[in-house]
Amino acid sequence: MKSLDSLNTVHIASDAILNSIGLSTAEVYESMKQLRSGSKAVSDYTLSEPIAMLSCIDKERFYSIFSTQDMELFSFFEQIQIYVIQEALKNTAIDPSQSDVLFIFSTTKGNIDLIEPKYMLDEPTEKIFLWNSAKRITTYFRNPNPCITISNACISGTQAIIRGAEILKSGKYNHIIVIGADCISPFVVSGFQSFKALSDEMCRPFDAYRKGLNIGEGAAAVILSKNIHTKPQIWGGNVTNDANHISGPSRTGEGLYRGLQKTIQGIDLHEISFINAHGTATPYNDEMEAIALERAGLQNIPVNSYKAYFGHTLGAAGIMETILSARALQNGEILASLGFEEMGVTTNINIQGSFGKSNKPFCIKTASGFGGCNGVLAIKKGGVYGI
Amino acid sequence: MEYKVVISQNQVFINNKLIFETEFTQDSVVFFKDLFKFLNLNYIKFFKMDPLSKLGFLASELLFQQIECENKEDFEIILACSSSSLESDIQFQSTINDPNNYFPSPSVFVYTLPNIVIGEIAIRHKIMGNNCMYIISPEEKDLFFDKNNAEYQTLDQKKYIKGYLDYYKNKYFAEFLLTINK
Repeated sequence: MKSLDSLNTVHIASDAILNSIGLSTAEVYESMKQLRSGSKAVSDYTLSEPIAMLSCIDKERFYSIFSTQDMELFSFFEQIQIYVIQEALKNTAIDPSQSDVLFIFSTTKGNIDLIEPKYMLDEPTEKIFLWNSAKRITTYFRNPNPCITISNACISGTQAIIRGAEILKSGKYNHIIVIGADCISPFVVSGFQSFKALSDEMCRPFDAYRKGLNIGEGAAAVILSKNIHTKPQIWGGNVTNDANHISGPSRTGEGLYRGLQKTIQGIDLHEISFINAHGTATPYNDEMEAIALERAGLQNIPVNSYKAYFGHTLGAAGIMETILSARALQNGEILASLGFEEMGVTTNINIQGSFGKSNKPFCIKTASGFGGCNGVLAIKKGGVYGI
Repeated sequence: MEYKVVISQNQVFINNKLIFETEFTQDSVVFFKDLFKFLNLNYIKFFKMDPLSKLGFLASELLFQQIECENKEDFEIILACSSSSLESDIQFQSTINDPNNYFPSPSVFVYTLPNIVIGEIAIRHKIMGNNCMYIISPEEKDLFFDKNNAEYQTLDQKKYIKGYLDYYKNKYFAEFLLTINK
């Protein structure tokens, strides 16, 4: 994405989050300021191993505010997306049934539970196909356009925002609703467990005693619109590949380093408030990120990870974490990197251990995933240099 | 400069010309192996890949054999598929269904992400540029390839592979374009 395009700037007009620590962006943000973690020991999802620490949505609370009327055709995965879209649309004048609105979806495993034997007969139902799921949601909102679905592992959400900003700049649409969601299932839990990537306690990104990640679930939506200068701006972004290994992070952080380098071009490093890293708390991921950050000359800038608050929400993570970073930037705040106590990576990066304040105008969001993909976003505080 | 590869039920076309064909065989894995041999490749990682990755790998090999290009670092890889990783998803699910026969394996799980094929192509050719996996309905293939459409546009339109591929239950199809614009 080309940055510094001051004539047509892309902004976060509205947003919504649902996850283990809140039913709205405001509630999630407040929970984070209070250092609340949604991770709990759960034994329901795996058959052989001991318990896993998971960050699940409080379904009882969710259904106490979300009406299931007309929702028979929608799975839980789809209902949480409909909820965040409705919430993001509230307080805006945007009509999703208009042809100037485009939907972009991001998920890694979508309705994967539909291939469990209890749901699947001979053939999986059509609902398993991610394009089918997305289409039914846009039909619910009476949107006439084709919709886009990105499934690029754990950078899906970050990449969907980058793509949304690019498409918005092309001029074809006035508003882009970007949605990310993933749910916890035995499939996902056993998969990460087979990689020995799960921690049995709250995850500790960048910490010396980190043991692995907590899987989370949730949904998030952002509405991107042009030239709303008081709102946080999607300033730039890039996607790269390590070209190194399909499941192991690069030892040199090559892809992430290149993505960072391209994205921060034109930004004075002294103007970056913080970097919200992917920070999954697996030994290799955090080390890779630390190397890439140092190579890009960002070792002095505060770094945080939100994974200990609400887990790794897979395809939703990039959207959720971008929304929360934009809010922190707008508030002049830096959220604490929960779970961090003792430096556990070999480069000397600056982990934000506790809640802090800064009025600098930029923040950087990164994501990395299986398949060697990396996504980097630069967000600029709204209203700072507004026209 | 543009090249097009189509791989479909035992046939391979480059720029609409049939270049490889085998007798009808039920097993796609055999066909992929035959095509791999025909391309005279020495790349042992191929045999570990899931069918979707093999299909995408072969399509990209066919394209890169058409051009001389040492440094492919800045290429973009923009792919789309319809069935995603369903074949590997079902295989992985079968390893966790039975509590008495529970053996989830990381080497199967990794292929339950549809973008792994992009990683395989990127590793093979040291491609580090923009990359994306879209999930589209089969009817949206023309929209995906339509250069005038903003939705699936590549980043800078210079050097890229854009491809649609699908694999499920022995049925496979790939249509890949390699474009180099000066």
